[in-house]
Formats: sequence, C-alpha cells, structure tokens
Amino acid sequence: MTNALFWIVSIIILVACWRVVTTRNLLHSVLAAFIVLISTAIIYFMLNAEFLGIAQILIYAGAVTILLLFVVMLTTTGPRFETGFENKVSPLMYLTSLLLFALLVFIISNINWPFTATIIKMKNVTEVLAGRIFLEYLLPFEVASVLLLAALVGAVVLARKE
Amino acid sequence: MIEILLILLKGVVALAVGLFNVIVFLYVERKVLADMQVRMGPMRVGSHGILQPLADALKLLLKEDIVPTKVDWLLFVVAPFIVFVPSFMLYMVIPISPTWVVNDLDISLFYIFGILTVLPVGILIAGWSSYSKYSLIGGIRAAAQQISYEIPLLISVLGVVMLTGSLSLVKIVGLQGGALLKIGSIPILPNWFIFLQPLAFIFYFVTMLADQERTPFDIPEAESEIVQGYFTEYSSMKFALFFLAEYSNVIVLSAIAVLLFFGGWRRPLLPPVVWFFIKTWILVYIMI
Repeated sequence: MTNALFWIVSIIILVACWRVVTTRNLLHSVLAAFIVLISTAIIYFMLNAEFLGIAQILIYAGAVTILLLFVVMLTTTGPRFETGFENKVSPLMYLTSLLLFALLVFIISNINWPFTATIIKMKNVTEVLAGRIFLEYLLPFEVASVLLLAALVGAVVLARKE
Repeated sequence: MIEILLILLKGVVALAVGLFNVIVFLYVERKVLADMQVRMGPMRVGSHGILQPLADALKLLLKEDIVPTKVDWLLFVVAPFIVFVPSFMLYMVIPISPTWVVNDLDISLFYIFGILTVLPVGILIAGWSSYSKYSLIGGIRAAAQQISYEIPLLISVLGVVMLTGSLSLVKIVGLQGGALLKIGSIPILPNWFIFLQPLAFIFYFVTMLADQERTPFDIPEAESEIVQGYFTEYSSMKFALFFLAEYSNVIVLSAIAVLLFFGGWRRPLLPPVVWFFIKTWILVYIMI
C-alpha cells in the first residue's frame, strides 16, 4: 500500500520536474514546481514526519510559490509569459547534470545515517525533532538562521542600489 | 484494511459535515442580510425559501460549463481544485467533540496555517489564467490580502499556544475546563482563553475578517470596480468550487476561534457536538 503510493508520488514528482524545465510557459513551470513541492510533502507525511511535511507546504508550496507567481507576473511582459530562452540542450549540460547526480548519490550512500527505521515508527516525531534541534544542535541551528538573516540583508542592499 | 476504511469513512463524514454547514450558511446569510435591509430574501422554494440553497446547488451542477476561448486551459481547470481541496482538508484536524476528530495531529494548529497558505496560489492562478483584467486584479488583490493577513493571524494565535504549550487543538480545548471565577461553588466565568487573552481574540477576529474578505475588507471582490474578483470568468461547477471553498473557510476559521478562545465543546447539559456548533454559528452570524 505505502510502497505503491510511494511509486505513484515519485513518478508524479519526476514528471512534474521534467515539465518545470521543458515547458515554454513560465506559469506552467511554476505550477509544475508547485506540484513537485506538494508531492515531496506527501512523501514526508508517509515517512511519519508530519512537522517537516507541513513546514514544506507552508514555506515552499505556499510562500515560495506565491513569490514565484508574483515575480513572474510583475517582471515579464507580454500576455502569455513565454520564456525568451532557447531551450538548446548541449552536451555540457548533460555532463554537469550527470556529475551533480553522481555527487549526490555518492554523498547519500556514504553517509552513516544515525537512524534508519526506528524513527519512522515513532509517534511523537515532532517532540523528538524539537529536542534535537533546540537542545543538541542549537548552535548550528542559530548559525543557519543568522546566515539566512545575512542573506536577507544582502538582498535588500543589492536591490537598493538601483 | 479496516483501519484505512474507517479513516476514509471519517474523512467522508467530515466532508459531508463541512458541505452541509456551507449550505446552511448560504441560506442563513441571504436571510439575515435580507432581514437587515427590510427585504424578504428567498421565499419561493419551500417554506420561507428553505430549499433555496439546494435549488442553487442543483442549478450550478446542471449549468453548462463555459470556458472562455482565450484562457490558459490547463491552469484555468486546475485552479478551482487548488483552492477547494486544501480548504476542505482543514476539516481533518478540527475536533468537534472530545472523541470525534478525523486525525488528531500533535501540530494541528500548525497544519491549519500551513494549508491556508496554499489557497492564494490557486487564487492567483485563477486570476491570471482567466485572461481578463478584472480577474487578474481581483486575484492579485485577494492573494496579497490573504498573504499579508496570515501573519497577524498566526501571531494572534501564538498567545494561546504559549499559554497551553501545545499545538494540538484537542489539548488546547482540554485545558479550558473548570472555572476562572467562582462565587462560593457556583462558577460564573468559565476558564475560556478569551477571558485570559481578550486582545488576542480581537486581533484574531479582525484578521480573520480580512483574511476571508468579509464585509469591511472585501476589496478583492469590490463589485463596483472589478465585477466578481478572481472568479469572474468561471461558471457552473468550477464557480461552485470557489464559492464552497470561500464559505467553508469562514466556517473553519470561526470553528478554530471557538476551539482556541471559547472552550470548544465544553459546556454542561447538551452533548458536546451541539455546543460546538452553537458557538461556531454564533461567531459565523456575527461575521455576516
């Protein structure tokens, strides 16, 4: 049951990813990205990671998609929002994508993941997650948020120059 | 297998309850507004027009589904579902009585606000794909308003969350038992969070009105300027989906207000479900 669901969702994700890059209409591309993000959230829910799934919906499927929609609507001209890019596929693109894919596979298969199957069966995942973030890994968490803040300020500074 | 069926059944019942509430809401709104403006409101269908919502629903179902020629077909068809599905997913976590809740998540409040952020996506897409300037302006207005009022909505809820230390709606209601003020042994004030945090409730109520585009904040649907807002070009069932989503959101947000500030199902004598709906409907009535 869960397995079949996983395969269905994965296929949806892959097809939507493919549409994101190939479609000529920018808004269709945003919609496809929206589908990818929602489907990823479904996979999180299937792994019993409710908090992560909802955060994914809240931040990516909700906020980021709306941001993308506004950006597309406010910056592009013309009635149909077609991309001006030529979608020529060069061998270099294949090479870089393959290299990136190989790198990701290498990293994922070489990391010694601390919990594999135990956490999936837990009931209070959110509580455990909160404990991990705010007790054990508080410093990295705060550093990451400071980094985000710095990026925010940087973006404002860059935008103000014009 | 039976467990899955049971969950599905609960979901279907929750959906039915939601739809029924919306239908009642439609009728009540028309009647109350008519009363305020010294009109009769719907009178023809059934006694005092009580069957009017049913007739409307049938009419919407049977009407021809018109798709304007210049619309972006894919987005035009998908948009109503992006709005409709999330807004009925909200019923999943709302506890109507202590034992009746489809799925009691630990973080159901967070879930509700997460799902609410998806709605503007559908609204924007609907507004844009209609290929009409009124729809586009309406869509952008509605989306901008919903996004900007979601943040104060979240912040106004945080007070209650800090008071209880929990994001689970069942637990939040569970902590509102007992009495806040007593004379002798007779309770006067129940331990509802509205008495502990009146300001939070006022914030919540105002932002809820703005978020759902009710009367003082209904610029996204300003009829004199932009016809009907983002769903001007929609007809028949797709229009009905937007309509249902909008009205069910009003009911869901009132229900959340009841759960957070008015002690949910807690009150003597009548069964909890009845109390829950009485309180929700009082709030909905105020919003009309």
